[in-house]
Amino acid sequence: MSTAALKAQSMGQPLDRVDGRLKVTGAATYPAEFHPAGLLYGHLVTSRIARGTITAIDSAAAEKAPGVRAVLTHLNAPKLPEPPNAQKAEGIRLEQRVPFSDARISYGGQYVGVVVADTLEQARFAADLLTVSYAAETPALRKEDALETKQPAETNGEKLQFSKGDVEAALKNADFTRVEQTYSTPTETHNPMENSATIATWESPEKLVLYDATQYVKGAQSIVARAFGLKREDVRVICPFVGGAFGCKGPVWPHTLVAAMAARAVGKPVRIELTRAQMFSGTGHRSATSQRVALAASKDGRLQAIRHQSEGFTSPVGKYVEACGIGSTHVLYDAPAIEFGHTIHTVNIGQSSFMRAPGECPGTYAVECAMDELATALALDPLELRMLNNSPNHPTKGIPFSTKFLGDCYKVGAEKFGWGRRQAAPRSMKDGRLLVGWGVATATYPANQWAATVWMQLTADGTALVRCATHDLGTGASTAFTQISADALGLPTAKIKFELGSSDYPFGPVAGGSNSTATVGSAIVLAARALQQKLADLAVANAESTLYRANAREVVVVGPGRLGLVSNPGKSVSYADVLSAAGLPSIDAEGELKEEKNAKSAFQSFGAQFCEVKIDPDLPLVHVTRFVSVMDCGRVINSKLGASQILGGIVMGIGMALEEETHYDPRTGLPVTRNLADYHVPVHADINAIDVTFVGEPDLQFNAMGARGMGEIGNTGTAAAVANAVFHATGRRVRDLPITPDKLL
Amino acid sequence: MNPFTYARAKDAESAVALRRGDAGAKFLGGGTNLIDLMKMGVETPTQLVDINRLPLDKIEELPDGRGVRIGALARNSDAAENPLLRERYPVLREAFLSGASPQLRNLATVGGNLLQRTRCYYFYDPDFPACNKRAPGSGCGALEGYNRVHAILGQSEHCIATHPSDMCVALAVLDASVQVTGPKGSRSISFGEFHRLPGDHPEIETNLAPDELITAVDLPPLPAGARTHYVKMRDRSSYAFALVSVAVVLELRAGTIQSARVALGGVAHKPWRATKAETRLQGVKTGDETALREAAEAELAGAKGYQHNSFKIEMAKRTIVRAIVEAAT
Amino acid sequence: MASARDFPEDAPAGKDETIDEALLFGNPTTRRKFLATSASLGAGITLGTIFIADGLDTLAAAESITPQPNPETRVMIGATLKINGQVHELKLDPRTTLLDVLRDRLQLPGTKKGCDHGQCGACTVLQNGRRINSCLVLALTCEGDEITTIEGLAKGETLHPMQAAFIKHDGFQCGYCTPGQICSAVACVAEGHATSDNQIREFMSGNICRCGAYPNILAAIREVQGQSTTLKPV
Repeated sequence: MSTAALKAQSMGQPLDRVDGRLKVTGAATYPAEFHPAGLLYGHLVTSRIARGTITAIDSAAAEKAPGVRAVLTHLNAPKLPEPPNAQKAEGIRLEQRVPFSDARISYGGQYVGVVVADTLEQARFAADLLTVSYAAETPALRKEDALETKQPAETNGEKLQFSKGDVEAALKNADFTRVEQTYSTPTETHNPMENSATIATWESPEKLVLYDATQYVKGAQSIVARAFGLKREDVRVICPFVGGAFGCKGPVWPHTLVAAMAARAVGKPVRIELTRAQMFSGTGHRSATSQRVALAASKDGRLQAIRHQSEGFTSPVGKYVEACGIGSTHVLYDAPAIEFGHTIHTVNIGQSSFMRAPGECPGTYAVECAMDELATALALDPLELRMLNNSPNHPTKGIPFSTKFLGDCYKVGAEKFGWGRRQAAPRSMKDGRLLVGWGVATATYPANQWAATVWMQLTADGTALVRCATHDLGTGASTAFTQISADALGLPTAKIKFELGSSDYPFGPVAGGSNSTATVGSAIVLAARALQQKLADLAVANAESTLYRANAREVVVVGPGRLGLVSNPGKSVSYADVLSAAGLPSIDAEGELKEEKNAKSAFQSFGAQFCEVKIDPDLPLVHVTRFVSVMDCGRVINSKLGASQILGGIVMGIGMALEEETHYDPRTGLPVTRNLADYHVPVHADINAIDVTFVGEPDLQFNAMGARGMGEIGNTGTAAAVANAVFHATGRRVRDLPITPDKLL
Repeated sequence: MNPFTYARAKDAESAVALRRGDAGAKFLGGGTNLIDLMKMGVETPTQLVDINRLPLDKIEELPDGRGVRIGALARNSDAAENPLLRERYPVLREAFLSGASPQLRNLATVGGNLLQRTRCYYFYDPDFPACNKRAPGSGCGALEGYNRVHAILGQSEHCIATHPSDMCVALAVLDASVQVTGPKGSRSISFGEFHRLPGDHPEIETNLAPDELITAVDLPPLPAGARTHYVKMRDRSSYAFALVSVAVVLELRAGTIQSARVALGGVAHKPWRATKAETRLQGVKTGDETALREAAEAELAGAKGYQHNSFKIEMAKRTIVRAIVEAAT
Repeated sequence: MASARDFPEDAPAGKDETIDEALLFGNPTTRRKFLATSASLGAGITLGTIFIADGLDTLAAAESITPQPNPETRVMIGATLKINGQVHELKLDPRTTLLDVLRDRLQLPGTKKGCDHGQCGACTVLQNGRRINSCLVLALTCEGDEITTIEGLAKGETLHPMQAAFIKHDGFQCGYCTPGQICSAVACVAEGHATSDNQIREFMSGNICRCGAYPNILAAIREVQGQSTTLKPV
């Protein structure tokens, strides 16, 4: 993966978001806000049962309602093939069932029809008039009632069942201190502020345009093309802005296919915008988990055995594994004996899916709480226990991490937080009547770098246009790519225009797995080098040029917009001069990055999360009053926007720890708390000072920027740090999230 | 949302006249609850009578020292900031500011808040078939369902929903009265008589006649030196409905409670006036937390919890004690 | 603070002044417009037995069509809305919320739909200077009001100080809650509810940011409020 290091000029600077002005003026256009001529409005009708069969549909009233153009249900919808979930290059499709393909109901909230009308008001009203009759069966909602239980072998090429050493023996060893507990997390729902939406426009029977809220324009293009039997290039997917996603807009969900179906049926553009309630069943969620964690350590605090058995859920219409063990025990701490496994239960709940730091987030919650319990059992400071077990090697792969500055994270964090003033005994720290608790946890997330192609054009006026079918979910990707492009071309950021969010551009991967900065950034570097090579070739071929007949391979960027000789940088020419001498208005090049496996090093980011809580002992609503986060993510491309990424992950982690839970009605199986009044996410008043610091060095083994992604790591370890602080404050160990006031009464 | 006709009234008489004889008509005030429920398909009026331009938004002193009158169309935010109310009824300001959000309080009216409907999940979402309040006779989905936010006092086998308003809990301890006007003229309803317990008819929530219009809420003066306070327990720091809330009005002499008014929110179908606790609190020292706790225990003795809300019984007791202690200090 | 709902008796000059008792919209005795809908069943275009109503292309085209006897047929009501200083004459379905008028009729999608039920604040706009949830307000009730949306805050190329402060302090990530946050923040300062960190937190709690930019939003509001821009050390 390694290429020559990119010199940092713009990289590392706290550049304001390049799309900031558009966002603060309301001029940023999100997919649902496009308005093709003749746009009609579709409204989805969802199932009121979670398991059973549709026995009848009476659509007469809906069809007669004013403004209605079409009512589609399984009785009249076209039969489409089921494109598989092919992941990387071919799109992600976790819910395998094609909408309206039959009368079967597999989960509450499943789409049973769509009404298309002239206006939104008409469509919603007519949707209420659609009468669907069901033969309901008792839904399976809990693992005890699961339709199927499996222990799958692997997910995305990673082993889901792993064992090394003799865990059983170590856990039984009387010389070792041992803890074993079960930790559970509830169903959590992404809830980006922008609901998923698709506008479908058939420009001809063979050409389709989708304005789609997606983290993966190329994936949506591929899947929709296969579903409708179209050539890939005849499906255009446009998504210049994403109003938050956190994973839920990575896969193609059924509403996107319905929008295309409906637009085809009425011969006009159709918009389907999910309601907030529909976001709780139609676009995935983080599976509830139950995790049994056993740890054994020698008296000096060194881990001897780790066992981590995780259970999660999937639906009858797809397969998904919340890989808690891979996300935590796989990478966190080394020990002579390690075992982790995953069990997945199929229940009548909408398809689970990846949500910010899937696996890592719930996995680090369980393991980092268990570490806290182990520290208590060993009478060791919980931070010291973690420092003792900080290993330079990947625990299950047995290879070294490329770089790992976790020790610095612990040290810097402890200083900033004032950890040394912590009194060990629970309930021993107070602020007036309030109980004060301090907790710590380790954060971790893998560094992913996949495949992408970047197209780059340099114009004689000294500006560059850079394009890739990638995405900015609010991550700051547009800005980071502008900075990387600037450094790769040796130009100031003001001369760079980076464009994304269209399937017309060269391939970009899903904006997931915190991969985009590394993947697209590396492709930018390749494109810039290809472009400079073309310029160098022109320069050395030009008899007027100072570089005439120089070895093109020795020509490099020597200054802003200038090429010169490695050996004699003073001998240089400007890009503009090269182009004008060649009589070219512009020159362009592509850089294609292929995914590579590196068996010598493991690439992983780490961090330390420190949390202070204050709790009224009688009326115990937990307040997170301070949070210190220290992260090692390699080079930080933009210090301001990078800190925002970590901050956002922490806020979501606080929500996970204290507030978030999707409940399901035991009888109907419908999500009960499917709105933002009943599904609580943090509000302003919940969030106090959060301090984010970066440590470490550029990971130049990983890529030319030395950057590892940072979209998800902030959401790991956070819930454990909060839960550990709650234990320290109250002496009560709550092992089932969220820690709502009733659990501390 | 079903189709409806829209009429804009200029004064109370025309508003009442517009609605008269039309069983499908509703008054539209701030709309924060009604429009929400219309979008959900729970409320399906065929006519909306927009009363927002009625001159009923004044907050003014009643003559002869009889207290303060809050116009029914006063917005919650304006009532919260009103100098007269801030000075004389600080508990009301506390309650207003703990409810909803600034934006919603800018819309929500005092009259509308009196008629705010329950946040029971099974009532709010018509995809759940059982709700006696929404569809009389269909059963109660919450009894055996997810019932975290539900009632522990005064509920019936037909309904365990709670009243969600913060303002109403304060009004309950202020001994407010609700002024209404209708085809048969105007009348005053004492606050304790305004809301109903569910009994056999959870669909009937107040003693307001269908064609009556709330015009004002009257607040009698509080005893001189009375201490008041509102404490709200919820699942996050702001912008959440109460799990349990408590409003108190105390008359103290040398640290001893001469009289107490205590009301609970989030625990019953109506703002729950805790008369048993009030009786017990007479003569109790505010520093005697054991005696305060006993008074709270007396009120909650008849409470009944369900699978997910039993915690409210203990939480209510603690919140009562806390509200009194903080009011007294 | 003066209540914006206290309409001066002499303003605005509008239809209200011409009718004594009440304006009856949709009442058969007053003017009314209907959206025509033909019940004729068209042929399924490509997909078999799909019901296709042979409707109309635009609402405007519908205005001249003969009224339908169907009581559920939509009644369109004329209304004048003033948005960002610009007057719009519209024919509205009474069910239409201010939010949907802004987004779908007036092509002002800066105001966002996050929950459509008053639970997130993404739709926050200013009504006569007061912040409200536009998703819970019927557009018809806004006649005579000055509505300001995110598109109306900047003066030409000059950003409103709150907009500039949001950029400077990175008070947003995905940007979807941002217009509502900024409108809310502008009102929060104007209300006098931005005098301390905790007050800002409480009085901004009606605007959810799922990206979690809260501390940065706080910093932006503090700057505009004129306080120190540095966050207290942890």
